[in-house]
Amino acid sequence: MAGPLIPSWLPDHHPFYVSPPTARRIRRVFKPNRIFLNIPYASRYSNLEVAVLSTATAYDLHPCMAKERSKLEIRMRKIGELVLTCKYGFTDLSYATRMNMPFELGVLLAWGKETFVITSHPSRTIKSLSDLNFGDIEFHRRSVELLIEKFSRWIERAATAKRLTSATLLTRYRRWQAFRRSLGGDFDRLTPAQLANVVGVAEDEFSVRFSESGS
Amino acid sequence: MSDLTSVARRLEREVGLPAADAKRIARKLNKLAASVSWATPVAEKDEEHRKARVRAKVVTRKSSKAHTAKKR
Repeated sequence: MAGPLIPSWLPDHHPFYVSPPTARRIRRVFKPNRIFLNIPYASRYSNLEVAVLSTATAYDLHPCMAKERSKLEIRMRKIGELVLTCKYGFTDLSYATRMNMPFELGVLLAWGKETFVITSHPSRTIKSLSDLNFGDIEFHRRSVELLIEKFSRWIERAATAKRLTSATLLTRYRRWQAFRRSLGGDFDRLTPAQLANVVGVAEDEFSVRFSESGS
Repeated sequence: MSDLTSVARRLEREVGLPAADAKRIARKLNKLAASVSWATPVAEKDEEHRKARVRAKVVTRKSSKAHTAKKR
């Protein structure tokens, strides 16, 4: 797929209607390395969030999340627009009681985005979402190491020719955690795309070696 | 050589942060860089700024001497 999909067939009363200015914005923002993160905004998920961000950016993917757009817009249109600007998707279904993530997964799949699906325990998710094939869902048992390993394997298969070792990715994750601690509240205020850019500036200006193994 | 001011300017330009946020984040990153072996901190102030401060000090010292002499 060279450019973004624009669902121009939807009528203007449809929740996912894309107006001509929005379509222009989607075409401008779309990049073949953008990945939509469909993950919970819970404090107990934050270590896994750092693992997702550090792994995605290690492969030069540009992460984006629904929280990074204006609150004034209709949420569903905002999510639709963000999904359309991405080529890939990441979904964590660990919080099966919340319907937002399965819903957004449906949007990602319907619009043909290559999507990595993971959950903490597969059996629980299969019970509540039996339409998904068991083989299509990975699980992490709330382990950062497992999440990094499975997500990186998927990225290397689906999105890039770049190859990184687990040790490199774990070092990167630990350094991202140090980065998160040092930024404090600013880390949560910044969008994933801004965090990726701050990391880029830090790598240049402070010769930060996020991925090199060592102490 | 980079300094905190140029890092903050780059954060403003490339990340789209307001000036105050960019300065604060540059300072936090510098503190982190100074505390780990896998990064290198930058100078707090640039050379021009340091020279300007030295010049300002000299002027102050001269003017205070002149003031003391006048008093006498």
